[in-house]
Amino acid sequence: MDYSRRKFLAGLGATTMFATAGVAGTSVIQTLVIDGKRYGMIHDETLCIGCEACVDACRETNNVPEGVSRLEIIRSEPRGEFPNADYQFFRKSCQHCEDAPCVNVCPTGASFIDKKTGIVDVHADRCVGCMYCIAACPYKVRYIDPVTKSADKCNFCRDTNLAKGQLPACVQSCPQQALVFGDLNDPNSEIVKTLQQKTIYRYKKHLGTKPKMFRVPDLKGEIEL
Amino acid sequence: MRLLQRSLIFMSLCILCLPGLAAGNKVVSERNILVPAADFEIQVENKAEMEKLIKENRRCIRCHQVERKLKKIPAVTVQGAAHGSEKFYDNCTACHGDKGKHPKQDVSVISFAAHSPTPLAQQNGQCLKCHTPVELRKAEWTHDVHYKKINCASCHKLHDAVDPIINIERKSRIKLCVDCHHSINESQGEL
Amino acid sequence: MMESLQQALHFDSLVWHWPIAIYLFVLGISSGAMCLALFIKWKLPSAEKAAKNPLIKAAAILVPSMVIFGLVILVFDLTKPLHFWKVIVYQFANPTSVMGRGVTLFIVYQITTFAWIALVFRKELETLLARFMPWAMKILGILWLWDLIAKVERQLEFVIAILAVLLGVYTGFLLSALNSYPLLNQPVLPLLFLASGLSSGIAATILLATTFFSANAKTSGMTLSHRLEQPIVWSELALLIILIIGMNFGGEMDKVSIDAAISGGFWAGVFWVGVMGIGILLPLMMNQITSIKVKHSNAFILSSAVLTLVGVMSLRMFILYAGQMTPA
Repeated sequence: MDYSRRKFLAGLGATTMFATAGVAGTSVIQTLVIDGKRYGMIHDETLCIGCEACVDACRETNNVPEGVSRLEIIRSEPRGEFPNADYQFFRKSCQHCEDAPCVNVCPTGASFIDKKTGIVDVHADRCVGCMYCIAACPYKVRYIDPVTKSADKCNFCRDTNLAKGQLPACVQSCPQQALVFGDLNDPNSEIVKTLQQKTIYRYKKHLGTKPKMFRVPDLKGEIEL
Repeated sequence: MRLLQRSLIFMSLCILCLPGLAAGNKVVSERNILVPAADFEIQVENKAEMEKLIKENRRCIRCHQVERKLKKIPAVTVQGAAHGSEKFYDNCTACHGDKGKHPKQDVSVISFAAHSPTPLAQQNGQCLKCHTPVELRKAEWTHDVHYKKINCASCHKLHDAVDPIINIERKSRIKLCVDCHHSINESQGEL
Repeated sequence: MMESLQQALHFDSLVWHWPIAIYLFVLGISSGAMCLALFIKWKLPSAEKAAKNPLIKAAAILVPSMVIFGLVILVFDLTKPLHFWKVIVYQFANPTSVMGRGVTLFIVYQITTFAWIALVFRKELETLLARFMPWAMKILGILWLWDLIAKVERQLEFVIAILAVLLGVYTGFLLSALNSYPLLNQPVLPLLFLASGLSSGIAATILLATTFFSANAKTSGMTLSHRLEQPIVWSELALLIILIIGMNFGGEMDKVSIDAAISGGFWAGVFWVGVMGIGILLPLMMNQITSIKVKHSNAFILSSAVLTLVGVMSLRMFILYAGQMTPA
């Protein structure tokens, strides 16, 4: 994971853009008509310690079988020398794109964006397992569930915790409060407030997927020329 | 000729499908690597030094083989993991240093604990004499980020039969991260 | 060697494996064979019957069988093969899915090509039916249907020509819709696959016609086939060059992707030896240096057809695997 100055500036630009949009209560990146809520998440890489409590909480809550994972924390190579070395952490999970390539290619409509929440999800019984969505996802976060043989991935605990009125399992389990989850349409929500305060970036934003996973970069002031 | 032509078709079809036949996934699993540390032999260079070491260690054992009731120090009965050594008479001085004026002045021995009078850097420096940063990183990346902040003895117990942190289960390991970091956040960074 | 082959065939970003390459390959054959059959039928001397032409016979076998073979491969490559009917039932659930539109195309293509085959081989089929299933002729409407198709023959052929071309470009669009892989997400891919599909369709038709229907250099349509082959191979070469140069003009990942694909490693070998060497340059050279007499020998016809097929299959494998090596 390298952060060039260009990417950093792009991240700044995105923050500004989002902040402006957030105040107005609607977003310029919105394409699909979402009734009411439009859920998004922030992963604060400066707070994350790479403990993977989120990974295990997700597995337990959503009954994810061994061998596959809806959520991974990818640790960078060490930065600096012992004993001053540290690491960056990157959350690999569904970005809940507003223009989702996986949904666009699905031949049966099994992959869909939930209109009530903006969450990208899968109808397991509609899926035939052609793996087109897995190939189409630029974030490589989809897998075939070894039990149901359907494509699967993070759905912000839409059918588990969220249905019970709780926060997603990963957010609940984080000892660092590095994850912020909330409604991007609500200007008073914690997520919108955090987005206004912090520098953020979105992964592979140039592909036009409009991801709703925002990240606070752990840059340590490094600039690559 | 006809037969030749037909077999030519089938052969070409077979060749076309060849690349797909090299199937079979490879599963690579990596187990926990126990770190090989520097050899104990490096601490003595000649016979005189060895004699001094034996003398020092015998003095440690003499008192600490039983419980020190006044200061509530339990009897030291095992040197866990790979740290005990018959040849070096339990090898106490390798980590704790020479007895010096101990027990009259506690400062003269190096002790390993969160509230030990020995400074953190000195405690951890003792471990680093044998365990190289490269090996430590290979065994567990969190060494990199904790070395300057907490003492090794917070996790490692060398006077137990088995060091409890080695091969710790994934669940317990995560719980350790969560509990410790949670309490740091609660106390706003003050331990 | 085995180690590098393992790495070339199994890597993290690989989602679609070789069955998909075979699927794309056989669909290309079907599309190309259909185009060729229509061309020959249109150019055939009026005295000669299309049903008697070995090349049209071969194409009539290849066109439906290759689509069915491709679909069987596709169905068994699903993680839930028994649920394949959902792709048909729910094909319009997502109107913009390339695969969904492919399913629609297969259905229309299969129906229209069967109708065309039934028309071209009407005499032969009627004799067969009369002999083995006399009751079938009495089914209400079958003769009426046959007459109806005969009435719209020109229109039907026109529609089939469009469908065959669509099938050819579909194989490319299926991959170029993936903006997760720079090498696949290229606008020339559908054209490249259409051209190579035509090549392989012509080669497969010639191969089958020569081995099973005793076609030779004098068979009508054979000269036409060879006349078509040359410009198609040249355009394939041009499209490949455009792809490589175009990607070098592209963004960072385009450059990284094409560089990883053709500059070294197993798939670069497949590209330079299989696609460029065996599939394009060798047939072109053979055509330039050999005499007319050699060219008209069955051995020459067969070997150049096999070379083309190997080349096209190499192209499918190369694009599929090398494409998936570098994610965006």
